[in-house]
Amino acid sequence: MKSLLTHFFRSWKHHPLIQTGALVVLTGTFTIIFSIYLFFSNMERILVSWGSNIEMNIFLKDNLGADEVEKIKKELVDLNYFKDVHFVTQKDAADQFFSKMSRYIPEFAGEKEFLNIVPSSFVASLLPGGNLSDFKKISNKVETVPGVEDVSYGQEWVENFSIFVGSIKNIGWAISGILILGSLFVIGFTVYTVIVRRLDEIEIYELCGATSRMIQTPYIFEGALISLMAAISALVMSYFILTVQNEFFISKMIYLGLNDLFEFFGVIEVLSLLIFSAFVGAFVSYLCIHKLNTGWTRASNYSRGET
Amino acid sequence: MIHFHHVYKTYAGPIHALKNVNIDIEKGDFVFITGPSGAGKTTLFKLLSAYDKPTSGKIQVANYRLDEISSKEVPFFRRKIGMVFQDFKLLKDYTLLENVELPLKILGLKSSISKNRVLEILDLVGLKDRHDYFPEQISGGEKQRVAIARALIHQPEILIADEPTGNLDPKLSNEIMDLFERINKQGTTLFVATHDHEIVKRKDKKHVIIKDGMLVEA
Repeated sequence: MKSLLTHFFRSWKHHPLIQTGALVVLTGTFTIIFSIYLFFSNMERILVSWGSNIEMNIFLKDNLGADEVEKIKKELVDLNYFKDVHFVTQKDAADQFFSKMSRYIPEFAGEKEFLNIVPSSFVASLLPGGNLSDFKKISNKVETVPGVEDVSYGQEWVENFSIFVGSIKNIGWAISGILILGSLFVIGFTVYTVIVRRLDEIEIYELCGATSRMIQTPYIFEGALISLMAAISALVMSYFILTVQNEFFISKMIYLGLNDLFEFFGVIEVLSLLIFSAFVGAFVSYLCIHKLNTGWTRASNYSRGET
Repeated sequence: MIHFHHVYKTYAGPIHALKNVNIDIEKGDFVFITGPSGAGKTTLFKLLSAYDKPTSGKIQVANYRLDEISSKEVPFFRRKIGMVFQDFKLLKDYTLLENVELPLKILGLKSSISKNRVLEILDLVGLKDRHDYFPEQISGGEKQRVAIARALIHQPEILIADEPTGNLDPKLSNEIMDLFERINKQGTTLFVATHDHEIVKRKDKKHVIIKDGMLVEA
């Protein structure tokens, strides 16, 4: 480890421009990747949080007895999809209907023959973490419960909402993917430039009997360490960007209630990002160097045309 | 120790760099090889150090068949030999001590153990006091002495030197040759390419001449 660190610091000391340039560019790239990832994962959480307020109306057939209603409730609860199943009697439903409609059409009030139009129902809300795209599946299952007439949850809205959330997620992945590819090129270019500038040094190591592994390891370590340093800097930058963003929502758009929903990465996510970044750096460095110093490759270049 | 048997080396063109070269050097020999530029000396050294393979023929050095050696074996073969070049091939970012220590580090020796050995050999080449200098801070002759120290630190059976005095003035060249002689007396086989016929005459060692890729005198 000590010799790897010595190699890294030597490399930094003798190629400060390349190393600093690579660190800055990588930090920038990682900051964009992390911020986009953070933004889209927060957006998804916000959308899911909004979506979890959607309730499902389960309309029952007419003239069901109290035992049958209780049995349906039990079956709905046993499905394990809902956090709350609330029974609305035909009378309560009609009262709500009349109280709302009478504001617009006053003659509705007291028209008792309309009572039969509104059926009794269950109002059920999904368990936390429930997925919007599952609504249709759940609805189909609920419709098979004996005594259930119809299920309504604003199907079209939920489906559009679900597509929107999915699209947001996919766009996030696509942008991150493109930027990750870009960062691979940056790491590769840096390590390759350092290697090309140090081919003489590699040659001397070969002459002294160093194996390919001995020569490659310090460069792979260097790639991993630069990438890790860039990832740490990028996390700090992303945190700063998130703080600025939250301040904006608090000061300008408090009415949206979003300020509490934008969160930074958790400890496991941070560790995963750091490990992933180091791995990417090491892997790209390996790709750059593993063909460079087979001994024979260098020899054949060196010996061409000389006698 | 070093055996070339009907060795040919042909490059694209075709350029016949070596033609039917036969050499036998035994343990403890000190052999000079001379010849004009383009005669094939460098090619011969490349084959000797496993930098290249012959087109045909058999090469055996320190019990390794270099015409058949695999790329994985090359590093282990090179640990058996020491090499000195005209351009010194020193690591400019490393101190003299670190440069000389390099082969021992590659062999896996700890610094605490290798340091004394490095200082001993730097003492042999007269540079112990400057062990913490960088190559840029010393003269050409001193650089070559560092390169020789590095080539000898792992106690190789063979030391091959390609124009080791090519960049040095006559006084420094003599110093280097005296050093080689001392090393040879300790049992190391030496194979030295040079343009300097004066040195060859004065040292009175085995002498091989190469011309147009062929050995013309031995």
